[in-house]
Amino acid sequence: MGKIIILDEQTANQIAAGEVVEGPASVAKELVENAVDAGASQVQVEIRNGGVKLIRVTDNGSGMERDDVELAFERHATSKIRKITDLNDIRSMGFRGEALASIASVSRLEMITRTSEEIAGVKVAIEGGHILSVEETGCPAGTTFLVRDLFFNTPARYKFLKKDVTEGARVADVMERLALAHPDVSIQLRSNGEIVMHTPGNGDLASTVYSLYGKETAGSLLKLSHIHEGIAVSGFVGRPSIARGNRGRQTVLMNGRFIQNRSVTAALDEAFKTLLMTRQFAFAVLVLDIPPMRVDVNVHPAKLEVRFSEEGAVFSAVHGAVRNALMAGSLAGLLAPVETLEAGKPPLAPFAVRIPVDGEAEQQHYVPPLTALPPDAGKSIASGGTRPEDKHRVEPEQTESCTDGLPGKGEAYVETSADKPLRTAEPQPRIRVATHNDFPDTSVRHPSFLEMRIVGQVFDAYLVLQHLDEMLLLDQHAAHERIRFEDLKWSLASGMTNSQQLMQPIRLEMSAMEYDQAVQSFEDLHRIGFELETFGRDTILVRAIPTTFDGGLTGPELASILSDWPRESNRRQEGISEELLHRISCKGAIKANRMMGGEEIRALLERLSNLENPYTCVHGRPILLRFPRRELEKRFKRIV
Amino acid sequence: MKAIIQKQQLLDAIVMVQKAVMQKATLPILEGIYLEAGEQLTLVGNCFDLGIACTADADIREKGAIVIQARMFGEIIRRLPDALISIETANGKVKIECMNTVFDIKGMDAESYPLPPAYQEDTVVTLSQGTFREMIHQTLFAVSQDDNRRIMTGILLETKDGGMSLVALDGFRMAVSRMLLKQNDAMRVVIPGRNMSEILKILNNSEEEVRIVKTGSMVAFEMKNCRIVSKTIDGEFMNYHGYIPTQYETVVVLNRREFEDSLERASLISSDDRRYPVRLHVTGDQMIVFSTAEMGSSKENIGVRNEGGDLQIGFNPKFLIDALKVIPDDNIKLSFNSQIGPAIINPIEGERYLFLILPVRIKA
Repeated sequence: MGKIIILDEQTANQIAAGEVVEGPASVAKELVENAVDAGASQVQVEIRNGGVKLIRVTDNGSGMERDDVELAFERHATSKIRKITDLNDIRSMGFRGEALASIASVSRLEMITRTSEEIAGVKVAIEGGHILSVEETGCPAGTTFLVRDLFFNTPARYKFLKKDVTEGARVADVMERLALAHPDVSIQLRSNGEIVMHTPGNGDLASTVYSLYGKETAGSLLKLSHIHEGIAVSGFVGRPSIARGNRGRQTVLMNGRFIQNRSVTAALDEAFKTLLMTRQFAFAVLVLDIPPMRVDVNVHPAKLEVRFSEEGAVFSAVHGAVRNALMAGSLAGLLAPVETLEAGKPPLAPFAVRIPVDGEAEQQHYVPPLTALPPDAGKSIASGGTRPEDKHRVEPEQTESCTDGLPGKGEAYVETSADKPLRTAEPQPRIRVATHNDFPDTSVRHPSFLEMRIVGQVFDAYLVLQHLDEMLLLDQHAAHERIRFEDLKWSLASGMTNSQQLMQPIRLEMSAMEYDQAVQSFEDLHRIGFELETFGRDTILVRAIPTTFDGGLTGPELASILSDWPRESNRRQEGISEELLHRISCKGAIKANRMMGGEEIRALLERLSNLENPYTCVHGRPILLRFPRRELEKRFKRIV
Repeated sequence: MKAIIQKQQLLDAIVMVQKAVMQKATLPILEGIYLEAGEQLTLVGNCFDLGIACTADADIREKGAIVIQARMFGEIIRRLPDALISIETANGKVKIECMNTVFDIKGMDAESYPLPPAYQEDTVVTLSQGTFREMIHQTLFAVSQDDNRRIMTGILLETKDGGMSLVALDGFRMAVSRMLLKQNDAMRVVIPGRNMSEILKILNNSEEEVRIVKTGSMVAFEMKNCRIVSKTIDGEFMNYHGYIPTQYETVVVLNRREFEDSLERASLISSDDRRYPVRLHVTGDQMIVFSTAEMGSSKENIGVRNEGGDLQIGFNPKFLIDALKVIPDDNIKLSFNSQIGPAIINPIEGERYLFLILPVRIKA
């Protein structure tokens, strides 16, 4: 007799359950997704003991007809697709027809369902995959699942369940993401009787974020709106101030499904680069709209992973969206009151949860791929927005010079910026087809810097400033480093890197390894404006330095620029290693421990006001710290 | 001590010596002015790198010395009426009296004040204050601000071949100012640029003499009522002669003012801290000044007398302007060799000054 047998249905389902059902969180996810697919507008989830004892999911969706009830628990039974080609246009959450069968096979399950047409509902009880009873019952329209004693019949699985608290937290995490994916569905989660979360379900993503993460987060959102090659990116990212030490608050939603994808998170990290310190992760709810044709969701049974047909396009779309939002000047979140002065933008009051412009998302779909944004797509929740043409143009940084930093100039600036689009329509002398790494739109400025009152300098390192009702501390080195970094990027992008010849070449003697590394980087260094030549063994002559260093460079500074050559994997800006740019900007920057006069400080603030990002240095450290007057008054116990 | 002195005379002396008083010192006495009533009233400020001693005519009633906190002393004297002031010390206190006003302030012990050392005269050079002043003015701007190369933060004072030169350079440019000197004690010292700028303020624009005395690691400048002692910078100053070309391919003669104005205009379109180079294009008897910056570009023609070939070359306009600003002449000679060789600005006649400026190579 042969050794091979066909597994009975029961065993097969239990094995399949291993893939779909990993724990209470995945059960809850499958059931809530089913509820969403059933058109529910309200879903209540209740768990006991982290969901191990009980998971109850109640929805007000379409319910099931009596005839379908038993079939629903068969494997590969689904109402969501009919044939494999339907997968190409899949819009529903589920489609594999595995979830119910799997869950039923590893738990004691009860389902009560009624469609709105029928008078009586049906109640099914299943234990370990065996239907125990099917009977009529009175119930509200919709479906209720009760999943008890998960993995009661698969001890191996049961053993791997974590503590109740951990499993409960996982359920909550999945529920948060589902709620973000479906802002139009009100999701409530109770754990051991207590309400853990409850989203409004009013279709507004911002309100959902508010209800999940609270007012500080909701007050620090930057709206995304970007289309790249037919991939629409919307949602929010958080200002650097609310970044976390893990990715727990990064949610990627694709066509209503939350997914995990490395290119997407990589694009997000890249866009936040230099804004965050290492090991910090931005808050993000990225909503990707990708034609179903271009993505394969059927990679993983839990559908957490997806495969994009064009990873690069997705990367660019996400990167572009986040970058635009960040560079729209809204980082002034660090200076919340200041922001209200800028270009008449609506202030992002923490309590005000904004409702997106109606039909904004749909509108984006009319735009043919490969073109720029629709005129209003760049409209950002908290910023003046980015114009479509910006992405393809390098604009000189100082088209409007705010060189006299008298108070009140900010307003003058606001007026002139209104007629800016007209002007930028003129052809620019240097037009390049730009990539997302290009020198950014420079029309976004920070007039608040010009309105700051200079109080003084402390420790020869920090500037004390006052603006409106806030005291600000500014790290002079970090600020100058940022200025130099952006200058350098600009001059590279515009090809304006000139070399100041030196009277006396600087001789650098290096170790053999340093020498080798330096020689390898000659080409990059030459593009930046250095003129170097080798001079016998292990000695390099520097004959000219970039004009940006008109204060000169010392031998040790040069040596450290040349020899600490970064690894191959390093990111590159304009074809130059980013790390090298960081190092160069750091070298020429004014140091801490230097006295600065009023004029000098004023000039520094003026330059900051022109920057793309005047809030963090190239290493992600903050440039500005603010102390609201209220805070000081509290500390002095003037108010309590 | 007790001395009676005219307010203005005392104030002038205070202002002079204050330049050498530390603003913030670890020892309070270093923030003071040393006052000594001898034959005259002597005031001293000293911060080790620089010491200034001034004498003023006063009616000395009683000899003695005291140290007074400089800033307060200066402010008090400044605000007193324009009349005779009496300064009297008793028990470590200073009584300052002027008409109806009396101040009684704490003094510090004169014994513990570090006076600049007495010195021997190694070598001496004598010239007029006015000339020395102009020479400092012509070179000071080219002093390097980079403390890492200390020798370049000073001005070289050198006597040689019947003349005296001041030389300053910062790695990108060099300024040389020369004068003829009959007597010829050989001297070669490098004086900190910071001290030179204080000396510049003290020198007047007259024919009065200044004696420059070299002594060990110090150099002293002696004037009628004032003696300044400065540290020198150790180390070998660059052999600056080596940087000056001996022949040129392109030599143009042009109006200094016109050139300077043109460069100022060309720099208008680049901002202060992001300077863009200007390009000079010499063709025949014309020099075109181009500039391109992020804001736009400019172009200007200047008529010149060209005594050589045509040339295109780029410069940091600030370096050119700095030099042109300190030249007294109407017309100047501008010489080049190649796109990467230095440019030299000379007087049409003579060798009173020379400015060397390294060009910027402009990437096309």
